[in-house]
This record gives sequence, C-alpha cells and structure tokens, in this order.
Amino acid sequence: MKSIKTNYIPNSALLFLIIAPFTVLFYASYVYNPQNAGHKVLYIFQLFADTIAISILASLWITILLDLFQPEHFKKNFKYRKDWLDENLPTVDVLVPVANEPIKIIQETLLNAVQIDYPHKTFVLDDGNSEEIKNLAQSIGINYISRPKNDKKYAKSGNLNYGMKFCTGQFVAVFDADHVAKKEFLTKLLPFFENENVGLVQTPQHFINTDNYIASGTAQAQEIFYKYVQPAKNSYNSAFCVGTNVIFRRSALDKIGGIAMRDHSEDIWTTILLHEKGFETIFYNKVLALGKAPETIRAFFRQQNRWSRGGFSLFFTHNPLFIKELTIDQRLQYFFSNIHYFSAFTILIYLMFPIIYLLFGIHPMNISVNNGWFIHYLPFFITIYLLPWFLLGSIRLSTITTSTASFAPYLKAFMSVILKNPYKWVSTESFTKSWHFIMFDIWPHLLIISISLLAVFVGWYNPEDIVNTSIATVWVLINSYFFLIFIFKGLVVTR
Amino acid sequence: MKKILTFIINLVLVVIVVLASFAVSTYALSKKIESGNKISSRIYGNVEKKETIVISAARGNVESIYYSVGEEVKRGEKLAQLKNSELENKAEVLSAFEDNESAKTELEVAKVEIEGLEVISPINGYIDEISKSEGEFVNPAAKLFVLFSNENTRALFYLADYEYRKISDLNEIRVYNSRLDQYLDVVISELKPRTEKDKSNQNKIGVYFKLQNPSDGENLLHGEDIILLADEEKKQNQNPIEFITNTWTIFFK
Repeated sequence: MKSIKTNYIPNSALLFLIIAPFTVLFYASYVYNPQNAGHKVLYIFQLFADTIAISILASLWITILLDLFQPEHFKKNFKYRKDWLDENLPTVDVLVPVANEPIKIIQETLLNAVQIDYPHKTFVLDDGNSEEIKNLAQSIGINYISRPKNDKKYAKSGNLNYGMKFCTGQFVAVFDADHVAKKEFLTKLLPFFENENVGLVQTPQHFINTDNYIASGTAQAQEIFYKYVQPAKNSYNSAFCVGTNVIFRRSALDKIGGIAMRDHSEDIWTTILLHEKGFETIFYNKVLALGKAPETIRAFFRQQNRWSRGGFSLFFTHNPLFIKELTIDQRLQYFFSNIHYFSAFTILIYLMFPIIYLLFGIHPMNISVNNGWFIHYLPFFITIYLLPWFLLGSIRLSTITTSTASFAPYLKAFMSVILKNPYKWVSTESFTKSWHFIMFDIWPHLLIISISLLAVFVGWYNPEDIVNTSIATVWVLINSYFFLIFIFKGLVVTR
Repeated sequence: MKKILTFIINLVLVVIVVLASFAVSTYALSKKIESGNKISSRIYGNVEKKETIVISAARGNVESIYYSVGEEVKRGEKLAQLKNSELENKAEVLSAFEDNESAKTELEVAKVEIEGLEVISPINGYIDEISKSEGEFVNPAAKLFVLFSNENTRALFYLADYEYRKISDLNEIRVYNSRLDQYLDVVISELKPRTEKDKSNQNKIGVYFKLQNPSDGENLLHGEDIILLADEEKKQNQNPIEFITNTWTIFFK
C-alpha cells in the first residue's frame, strides 16, 4: 500500500492552482507599489493584511501543488499488512475523556466504543464526577475513571494522562465525547503500527450534524483541511493529531512523558514532541468516526478560540520554524498551520476599510485613478471567497459566514496568548443554552453591523465619489448580511 | 430571575454597542459637514513671477543704492545712483562751448549718459537680488538688480491626468498660501511645454494658473509654496436630518 491519499483531485482544484498565482500577482503588483498608496496609515494596514492573506493562500497553494506533483519515489512508503494484526494481536485501550457533556451524547459514544470490532478495553475518563456516567459505565460494563479533585491540574491532557495510569495496552485510541467510532476503526488502523517508527495514526473528523447552520460551516471548512491539507502534511511526515479519532503507540507516548500537559491544543503539542523524538505520524484519509460540530455561536467560538490559542501559543513560544529536531518539511508545514490564525487581522482590516471610507472618505489606495484598485481587488477576492468551491466543488453560505465571523475568537485568543491569560477549559458541547451572555461573544459583529448601516448614511451624505461610495456600500452591506445571518442562525438553533 | 438578569445584561451591551456606533458615525458626519466645500485634495505648487534684470546704462561707480533686498518698488522709481566724474567734467567743459555745433552734440550725448547714471525700476515688483555694492565700479550693461514683477503673477502646478481633468471641470479654483494665510481665486492660464528638466514630473502636466484678481499677486514671493485646493463644485449642502428623511421617503415611494 504505497499511497493512502485520495488520488482524485477535482478539476476545479487544478483550476485554483492555475489561476491563483495570476490573480494574486495581479493584485500584489498593484498593492505593493507605493505609488498607488492613498492614506498613509491605512496603507500600512493594507500591506499588513494583504501580506497575511497572500501568505496563507500561498501556503495552501504550495501545499496542494507540491503534494500533487511530488515524485513517486519521494512519497512515504507505508507498511500495511492486515495479517500483522492477527500475527501479533496487540492490546488496545480505548479512552473517552468527558467533561459535563450531555449524557445522551456520551452514551452513544460509549456504546459504539464498546462495539468496535477488535478486542479492547474501554475507559471513560470523567472530569465531571458524574454519578450518572458512573452508573452508565457500570451498566455497559466499561471502566470508569474519575480524577480526584486535587489532581485536576490540566484539562483534557491531565485527564488523559491520569486515565492512562490505569491502562496497560500497547496502543491507546482516543475519542472525544461527541465522536462515535465505526466498528472497523481499530482493524483498519492498527496494521499501520507494524512500522515501529509510527507514533500515531489519525483519521479525519467528520461532522454529521450538517443540518445545523454553524456546524455545517465548520464542517466544510474542516473538509478542506482533511481533504487537502492533512494528506499533504502526511506526505511530509507532518500530519498532526487533532485530539480525537486517533491511535497512539503507548511506548511512544511514554517516551515523551505522556500527552503534552497543556490546557489547550495538547494534540498538536504532543505531535510535535513525537516528531522531535523521530516518530512518524500517519494521517489515514478515511472516515472512521462520526462527530458533531459545535452548533451554537458560543460553542463554536469556544472551539475556535481553543484552536487558535494553540496556533498562536505555538507560534510565539515554541515556533516550529526553529525546532532543530524537525525536518525542514515538517517545520514549514507546522508553520503553515500556525499562520492560518493570523487571518483574523486580515478579516478585521478588510471589514473596516469600506466602513472607514464611508465615514471619513479615506482609503488606503489612491482610488481616484480610474477605479484601478477595484479592477485589481476583484479577481483576488473572488479567488479567496470561492476557495471552498474550487477545492470541494460546492460553496455554502454557512462556510463563508462562520469563517468570517471567527475573526473575533481568533483575536481574543491572540490577546490572551500575548497577555498570557490562563485558559479555562470547558468542553465544546457543554454550551447548549444559546442565549447566555451571548453579547460577550457577538459584540464585535453587532458593532460592525450597526456601524456599517450608519456609515452608509454618512457615506451618501454629499458623496464625493459616487462609484466608490456605491462599491463600499455594497461591500459593507454584504458583510453585514453575513454577520446578521450568522447571528440569527446561531441564536435559533435547530435540532 | 437568572434569565431576566441575563436578558438585561445582554440588552445593556446591545445598547452600548449601538450607542458607540452612533457616536462614531455622528462624529464622522459632523466632520464631513464641517469640511463641507473646503478641501477635498491638496496639490503643492510654486508661485512663478516674471524675472527682470536691471542693467547699467553707463559706466561709473555705484554712488548709492536706495533699496534693499525684498523691498517693493514701483515702476519709474530710482533704484540706485551711479557716479562718473569724468563724464561730469566732460559735460562741464563742453557746456562752455555752446556755440560749437559739435560740442553741443557731444554735450547732449554726455547728458544722456549722465541720465543713464540714474538706475530706474522698469517694473512694479520687488527686489530679489542686488548684484553690486556701493562704491563698486560698473561697466555698461552690467547686472545691477534682479527684480520680480508683481504683474502677471502665476502659479505652476504639476498635475496628474486625472487631477487635471478634475480641476479643469471646476467652476472655481482656489489656491491657498500658508505664509499669508490667504485664499486666492485662480484660472487655468496655459500648459507648460515639457522640457528635459522636468524629469521628476515626467508623468504630469505642468499647468500655469493666473490670478483672477492680479493685484492679489503683489504679496506673493517668487518660488514659494502654494496649495491648490481641488474643490468639487459647490454643492447645496443639505441639512443631515433633511437628508435622512429624504432618503427614507425615496425608499417608501
């Protein structure tokens, strides 16, 4: 079994590979030319935002491109014999860390974890000390472990490490409370471990609750990651663990002192530590567990905040570019993953520019020259906005709105990483009440909507330039519509 | 109870957000009204005045100079007096032979030459440079003064194509001089032929503007900075409240 990625790459993705350089260069040649600068301060912001946007787009582009054209001899060779499993019969523990999630969800996960096709021990690691779960575990016949209160130092990583003290298996599979394993999970994945160097095998997170608006947006954004980015990272031995639907080699974990003790994003830290010790990681692109994406704004922001905190803290405290033990490919791939979260600044700046133009009549570019800026902007923005269409063949309003709205949790995470605020871990699904201090989460969006609408009035009061004012108006109205629909759909949760 | 409290806190935050955005946009609107018809863009240029060099008409020593640099002069005013004692002696001697036709002619020539010892300002303007000092000897046709004329004062601006188009559409063009804190009305006079020297302004058009009221130019200095205010046409400024109500009525029609 030489290649494990889906060989099929849609033509639209090739189209993206071909046209993206043109639109980006066309745009960059205009923006990076100081002769086209308008308002000086805004121009600096513009350059900052564009540099981030172009870097992120370019990193995605080069990741897909290099993986597509990677010569056969360069690709990782995978040992994969099904017989190895029968010959060796390794022992496996399945761990399900839970923390106050609804009992219904936990029950489904546990029942399915027990029914996985290979002999294994199942553990539920309860951080909520719930009697209900204890009884549930007893009735199903699985092991119930709860950390003593004085030992609750780290969140999920602490829980997992405490649980692993009671496990003896050679391999450890981990499922989050809202991820339901398929029966063939272990039999499909364990043979990869015949190669002694393999430290972990990861499978995609696949979300099935796409009838929910916010969840469907997350699901599609994640799909790009699991369909293109992770397989490409896999080719460079830099696929990383995402915390669930994963099997670790216990001896590898023991070598790095267990799961990395962090309050958040212990998954990527653990992977880096494994890579530093020379272990390989495998991403197997087949859905072997069905998960639920966050359905409320609160839960969604919480999740995005956790992920971006991981990205930022890695970037600022343990920047993968400078880890000597990693190969250059791995360093680059980790770096690419990190910079994604800086898109928050780009989104915020792009949101503010048309508003500032309408309010104060200033613009980062010299807009009086024949609308040259608009001609250069348009193809670039179309490339960015149609990215899901290029890569996945479909585009959902929910994807665009959720990814635009997530600038707020990213920035919040950035601030807390910079200010070194401690993180309080609460599980994704614990927030089911949607109207609970919701304003703490959505005030930036509401502020942008309300300023946008007022800015339209200010802009059309004796407008200096009808064409540019019209463009700015359309632009702020589209953004406001995105946020309005995001807030509305997020508040009215359909189950 | 908890629900009500949550609702109230959320509501308060909504109100704060809305008030904040009202504050920002009110500020922006008031700025916009304030700037009204004033300045929409500023282009820097220079004042151009006609240079006149005053040369000596006769040979002699500079006896006295009546003006200093920067002073204003009127046409016909005496700028300096030259002295040529040889010529004066000659005139004196010649005046004794009034009967002699030749001497008479000579005397007239000498008198004209003596008249030429008076240096007179040929223009209304101001003195930019004094080339000789008192006591110095000067030959005929030597440079004595550099004057700048106060008549036909122009302003030169280098404009991009679109700026030129925009400005030539305007009904009223005004320039501003910050030294005098004065606004002046100007009109486009002529385009400057492109020369090799204009390398730095290669893609721009040199445009001369002349003053609508020529006497305004008296106080401007040659070469000093002047700002072109490219105002849009004067619009009827609406009252903002009127504007908003008008907009709404358009929507509801």
